[in-house]
Amino acid sequence: MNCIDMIKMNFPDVKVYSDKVETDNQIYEILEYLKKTYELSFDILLTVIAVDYTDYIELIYPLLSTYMNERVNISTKVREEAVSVTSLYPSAYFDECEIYDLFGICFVGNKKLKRLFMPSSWIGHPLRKNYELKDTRLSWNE
Amino acid sequence: MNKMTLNLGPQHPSTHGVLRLILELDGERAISCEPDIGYLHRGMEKIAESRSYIQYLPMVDRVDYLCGFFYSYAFCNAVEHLNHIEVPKYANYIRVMMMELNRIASHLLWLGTYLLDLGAISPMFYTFRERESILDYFEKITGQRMMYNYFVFGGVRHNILYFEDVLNIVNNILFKINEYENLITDNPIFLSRTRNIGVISKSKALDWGLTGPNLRASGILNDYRMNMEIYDDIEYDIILGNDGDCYSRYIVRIYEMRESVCIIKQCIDWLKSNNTFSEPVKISLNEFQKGEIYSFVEAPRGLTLCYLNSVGESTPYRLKWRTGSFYSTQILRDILRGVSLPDIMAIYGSLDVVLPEVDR
Amino acid sequence: MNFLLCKFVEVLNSFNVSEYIALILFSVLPFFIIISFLVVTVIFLVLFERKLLGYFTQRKGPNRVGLWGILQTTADAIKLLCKENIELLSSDKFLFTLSPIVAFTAIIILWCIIPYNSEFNMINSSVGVLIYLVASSFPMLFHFLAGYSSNNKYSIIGSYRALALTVSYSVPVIFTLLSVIYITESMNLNQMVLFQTSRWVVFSNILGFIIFYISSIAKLNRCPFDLSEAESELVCGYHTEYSGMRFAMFFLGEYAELFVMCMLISILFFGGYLPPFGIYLSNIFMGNCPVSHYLLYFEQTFWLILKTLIIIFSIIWIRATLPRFTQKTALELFWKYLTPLSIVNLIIIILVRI
Repeated sequence: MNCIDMIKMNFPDVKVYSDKVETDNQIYEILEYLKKTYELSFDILLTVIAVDYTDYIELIYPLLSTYMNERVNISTKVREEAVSVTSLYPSAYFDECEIYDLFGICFVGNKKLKRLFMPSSWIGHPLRKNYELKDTRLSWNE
Repeated sequence: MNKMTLNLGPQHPSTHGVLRLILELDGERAISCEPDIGYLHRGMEKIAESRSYIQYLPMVDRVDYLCGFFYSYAFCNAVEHLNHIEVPKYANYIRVMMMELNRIASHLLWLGTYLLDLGAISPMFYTFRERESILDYFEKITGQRMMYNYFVFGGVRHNILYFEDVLNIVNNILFKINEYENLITDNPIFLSRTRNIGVISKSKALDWGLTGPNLRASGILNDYRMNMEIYDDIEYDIILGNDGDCYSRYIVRIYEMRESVCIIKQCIDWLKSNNTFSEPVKISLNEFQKGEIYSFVEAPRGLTLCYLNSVGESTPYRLKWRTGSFYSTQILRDILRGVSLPDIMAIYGSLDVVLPEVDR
Repeated sequence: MNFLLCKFVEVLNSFNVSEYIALILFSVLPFFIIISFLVVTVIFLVLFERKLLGYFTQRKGPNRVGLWGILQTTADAIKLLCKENIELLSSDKFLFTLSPIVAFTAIIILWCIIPYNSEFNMINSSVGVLIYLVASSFPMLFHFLAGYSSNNKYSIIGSYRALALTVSYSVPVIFTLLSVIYITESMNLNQMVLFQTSRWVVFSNILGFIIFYISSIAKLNRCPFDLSEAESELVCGYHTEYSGMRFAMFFLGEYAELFVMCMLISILFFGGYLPPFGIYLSNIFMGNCPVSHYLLYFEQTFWLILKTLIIIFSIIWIRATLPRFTQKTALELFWKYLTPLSIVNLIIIILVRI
């Protein structure tokens, strides 16, 4: 039984696409299940990818299991707030800070969210699709 | 207890770039460490959204200037998968060969600068001498020493020649690696600086998302080359460390260079016997498929992911880089607690962090 | 000394200079000779080290200014002297200025106690070794004060590292010096040299030499003991905030100390200005002609400097080879190994002599 079947069995609400498993609000539970189930043990959270689809933002969690040498992508749709997974995967801390910085999503449960790349006084979230590139602070740019 | 806050960097001789570590020191012992990054943020992901694929291709090498081939491969691979472009086997072998040469160059640079961090000056010049020979070869083939722009969608830009040069270079490097080992590996001062210093346990390495040589030094078998198609016909060993300390990270990299030499020799054998170069296919700039692609490559500093999201326009809708150094920097928050200042440098150096890769 | 004094007064008398002025000149002149010798030596020494390090690392070293780059360090020195003196508003200005001056002056005193040949010895004291011990502890103390007064966190870390290291290497140094004093039965450096006419001290005290050599590398603040100015950790250690003339003082002092320490090693262990096989070349080649008496002095100085340069070469070689100790391992080395060893060595030497 492969991992996607196992996810589907334990979490019947998920939608399965060709290369990712989408969930509405069970992201923490699924990741916890994937990490702590011995046969799966997805022990590395590779990164957290955020994609801005203007009316919602999709977060993709690519996971890697060194034990099975397998990957799975879990995705969820969020608007302004998401659940932090730093207590499961400490490596998510920088990723969540980065998404907070560039997309403006607050991660509930991550206590030390900060702007990672941009100066802390920066206004706006650059990687959002509605971000104005004609900012005066960017006047040197082209 | 009197605490001293030491602001290490962004300009400091051994942060190899513009990393800032905010250290709380008690005497020389660090109580906490908070890495502050972003001094080299160039907005690579934002730029991708306003450039066409072809325009973005030369910029990809700049994500990490020490191993540009890996990043061009990840990006080219993503675009090829998106548009279902077949890459000829010959081009794939060239790619493997160039990438492995680049891995050696990157590890050599790490070796020199790491020993410089520990206070030994000479190895830096020796490793740069050998790295120079590889860069000279790259210059001969691609016209550039660091930002190659050699891999294109559907293959490589032009045929590769001078196989004898490569053989000479790698044989020389194999010989020189032994020389470095004579100089460094059994040196008691080096051992006292690296043995049992900065031990990263298996679970800690996984939790903090370490990949590449740093993860393998902790004793976890994980090499994405196993899953990459282009490495299918090539035989090589995966080097594992035991202890996860600075010394095993050093040993893993040293032996990885030897394995790379082995891979390069196999590539040259194949390329010599099947000299069938064909020009890469021309792709239309405006007819890109829709879809999401995850393109992985095992770079010298860990697993690299190029996430490409296309909605069928001439520019990527979203492009995301996952780099190894980003997570190697993050682990400093955890492992530098209770470590004294000289060991901070030894540990940070052993993780092989390259700052442009962290900030992108 | 008397012989030279008489000659000097004679020569000046022939120019109608009174005897008193000649006497004053005679006591002041050596200082000028030594200081000019010091500056020239240091400038040469920096070039020597850079050239050597260059060849160790397959480079050419400085080779642009002057013939084969011999004027490179002179140019550097002139640049340093012309540079602006920058200091922090929050630094302790008195100590900040005082430290490099005292550190440098103490090293000039070290240069004065050295017997360059059998006649030329500025301070021919019966307790030369004690003067050496006192004067050589000054630079480190003022390195500490420099780091303390410059109000920089790296400097403070560097300065207390220097202090901890000073305490630890001083003990084996003193015990080794005692063993050498016991062998040569004198604390006068000139006497110590003359004692070695038949046999160098290093042959009867090889362990002492090794301990003294390692300790002097630590005293000189050089790799692998360059903890207090560890570049990759502390930027520049105690002199991070220094620039221009004040930095040049530290820099000159460091190399002057290197040279004088190596001279001292060759005096204590390798027979100082004595020729290696007891035969003076000038005696062989010039025979008994009247000039040979003067040539002898030059030859003695030549032997001293040759031995010194060989020791300096070995120290530079070590710098090119080894990584740096950590504070912990360096202190362990001195307290756990070298201090007991030096005591054992002293006891053995006393027992052998009895």
